[in-house]
Amino acid sequence: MLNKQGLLYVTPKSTFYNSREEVIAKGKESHAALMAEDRTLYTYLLFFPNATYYAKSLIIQNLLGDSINKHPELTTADPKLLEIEDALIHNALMNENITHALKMLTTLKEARINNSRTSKVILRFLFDRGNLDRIVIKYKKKVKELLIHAIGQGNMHAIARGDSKGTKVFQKQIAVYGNPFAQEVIGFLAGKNTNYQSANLQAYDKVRALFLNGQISYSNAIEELKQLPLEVLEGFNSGAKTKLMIEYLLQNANLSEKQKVQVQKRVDKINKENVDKPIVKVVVEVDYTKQDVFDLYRLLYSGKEFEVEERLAILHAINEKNKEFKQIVREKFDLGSDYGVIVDASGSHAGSKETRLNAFLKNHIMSEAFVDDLRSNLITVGGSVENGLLHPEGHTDLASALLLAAEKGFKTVVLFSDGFENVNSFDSVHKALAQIGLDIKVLHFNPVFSPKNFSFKTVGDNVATIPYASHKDLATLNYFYLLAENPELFKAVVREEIEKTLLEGGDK
Amino acid sequence: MIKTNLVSLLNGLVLGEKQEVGVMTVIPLLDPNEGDSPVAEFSDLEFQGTVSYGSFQFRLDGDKPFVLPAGYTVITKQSAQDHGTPMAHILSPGTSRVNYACCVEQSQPGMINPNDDIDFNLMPIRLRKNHFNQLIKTTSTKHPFDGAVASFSRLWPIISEFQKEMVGKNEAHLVYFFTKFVDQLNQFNAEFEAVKSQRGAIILINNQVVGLEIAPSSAYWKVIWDKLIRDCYGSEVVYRAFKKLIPAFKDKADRTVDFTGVTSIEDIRAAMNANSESYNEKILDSLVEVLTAEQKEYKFNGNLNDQLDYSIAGLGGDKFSEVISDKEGNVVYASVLL
Repeated sequence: MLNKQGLLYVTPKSTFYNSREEVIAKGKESHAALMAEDRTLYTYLLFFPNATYYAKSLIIQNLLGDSINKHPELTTADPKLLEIEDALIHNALMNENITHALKMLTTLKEARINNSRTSKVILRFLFDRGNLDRIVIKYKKKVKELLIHAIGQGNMHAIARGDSKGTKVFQKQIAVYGNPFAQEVIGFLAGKNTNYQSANLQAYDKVRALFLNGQISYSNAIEELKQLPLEVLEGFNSGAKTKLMIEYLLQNANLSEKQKVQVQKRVDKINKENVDKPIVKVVVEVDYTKQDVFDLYRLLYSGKEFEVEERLAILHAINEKNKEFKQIVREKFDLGSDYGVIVDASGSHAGSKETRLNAFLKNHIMSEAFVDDLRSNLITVGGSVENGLLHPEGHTDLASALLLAAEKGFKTVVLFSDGFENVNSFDSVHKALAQIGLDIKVLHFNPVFSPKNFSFKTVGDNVATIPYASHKDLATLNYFYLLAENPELFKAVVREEIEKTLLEGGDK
Repeated sequence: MIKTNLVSLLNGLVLGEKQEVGVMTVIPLLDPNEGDSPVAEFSDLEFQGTVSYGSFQFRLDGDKPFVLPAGYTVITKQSAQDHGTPMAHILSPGTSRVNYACCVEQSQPGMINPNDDIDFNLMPIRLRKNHFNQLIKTTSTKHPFDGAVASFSRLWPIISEFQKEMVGKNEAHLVYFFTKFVDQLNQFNAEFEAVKSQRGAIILINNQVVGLEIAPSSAYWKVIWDKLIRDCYGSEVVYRAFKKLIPAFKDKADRTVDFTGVTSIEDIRAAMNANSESYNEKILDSLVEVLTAEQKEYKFNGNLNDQLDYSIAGLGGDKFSEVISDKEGNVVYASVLL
């Protein structure tokens, strides 16, 4: 079986080694195997927020598709197990980005998982939140699909009509969540025109009518436009009698922070095309402090030439993220004050065409959390500097780096490497140092899993290796270690955390 | 028979730190004083497809010649016949054709159209060695490279012999081998890394030198290295492991050093350095012995050029060398298969 941590990273993509179908089949097989072996441990994998959404959706499908009531031995041993499963499922959905969360729930329909528990999960996800009226504008089709799966098409229309049957269903299953816009959202989905209380639905209706009636212009409805996502405006625009220029939509749509970065190429292209035209330059301002640090590094290493202010803004945002990561390390790791950081920047970290620089950037980001402010505890293996940026290059001599760490007097070393060592032997040198009384504790973080079977390289017999998928795993690295080395202790520790943060009566 | 001192191949080059994984060892050859390359780079070259069976066409910018590496092979998903050339070629600026290329996809017709996605592979060394041994070393007067155009199908029996058992198919489609063993071959790319100023390498399997490669520049080396280690030499490891001539490639080498008696960090470092230096010396000695052995040079008129000289010579058995030098005798490119 895959190592258990590997189950968190299953994605439905083909690899060098396996077709998409094979990858999906293997992933399902591995998940099913652990579920059969230890349902509790399997459930607790949902505790990890940075598992792929696909992996999480497999767990949710398996849990909802196999009624816990069929396993009385489990509920007898642990009467809270059902409550914990539901809490973890809801938590996983609510902490996923909305696009993925909706996809995760849609797979329940595709897998024909349809029972009262599943309906509750869907309804709670949709209605037990404050922004359903906003979500439904962008994801109308998906939300409608899920609502129908949960309560049936007939009931949806009955609720929209407000008849006695609909009222009964609404009161029993949806009103419990106290969502002030629940009724009108259902009406919206059912295509029933309503005088909306929700400002978002009002804006949608108004702007849609303006486009349909050819009444949209560059001077009206600007405020309402800003409430609507770009995709919705583009949809209205494509069906409109009078079309607005895309520049106008880009400038005025409600873009997420990630979208603001994603549209930059489009914006640059448009401005280039319009350079000789009397059209105002399109500007989509990006707040880099709201971007994910991995995306910021990707930007820096993209080869794009930045204006000085822009580059400084990106570096500043990275720096701020690093401060947060350093804080996590201070809280979660007990390394003492005498630890060195060895970062492998050798050629293998450049990755393949498909995974270009992934391993290198992951190591770079993670290691920054451990490097001291003066960078005096950092030892880099390989690498070359171009335009102020370190790039992966050269062979992998981790052993010499360990010797250097020993010379500097470090008692503990945190090593970031894919483990593809080819010069000298880290393990031999580690043991030789122990022989002369320098027993250096080594913690090895490996950013590279084999896409074939999630195996990963280790560097020594007496070295703990913890694979990780991204910098987001920083807060849970110690749990990965437990999961691999002591699953029973892992369950106990995570259970405590779950009861404290997710169950009623806990700290939350 | 002539006796050329092939040791001059190593002039100006310094041995780097050996990289060792499993049965394979690579000793980088570094050029710390690298100057301007006398030949063009890959960035100056445009592949323009196959224009007839057995012919590649290229366009070369600038005024320098280009060295097409031995074993240059194009395998595409197009409905077109994959092609490769077992020998190195000198290309002149402008548009030029390589007319000694071979079909490596026996039952697939069609010409390769150039497009941006086309990359190249390099041929397994076993194919090149068998090509040399069976076709160039022939004692027949009908020497395929003595003025006559060589048959584009001449590699088919060689490819079949190489891979038939491994891929379980008769057709001489080299893509079958690369596809079936993609997992094992890709491993070599992760395990062996190009280093700064590297312009060549000595490659060993089970501590026996199997190849010596030299490129015109470190930039050229960076382009071919992944393909050399995977397609050329990695394939040899795969082949030998399949034939049980060597154990299966393991990703850990016994790189242990004897640290008996060490009492300090300096002692440990000294032991590591001594181990590395003595290994390199030993390998260099064995290599010099081979490179100064008797050689027989063969005539090939397909690489006549007013700026570069090409030679292909047998070193006994199926060992041979291909060397390209400038008119002053400085080695620009070499591929020595042992």
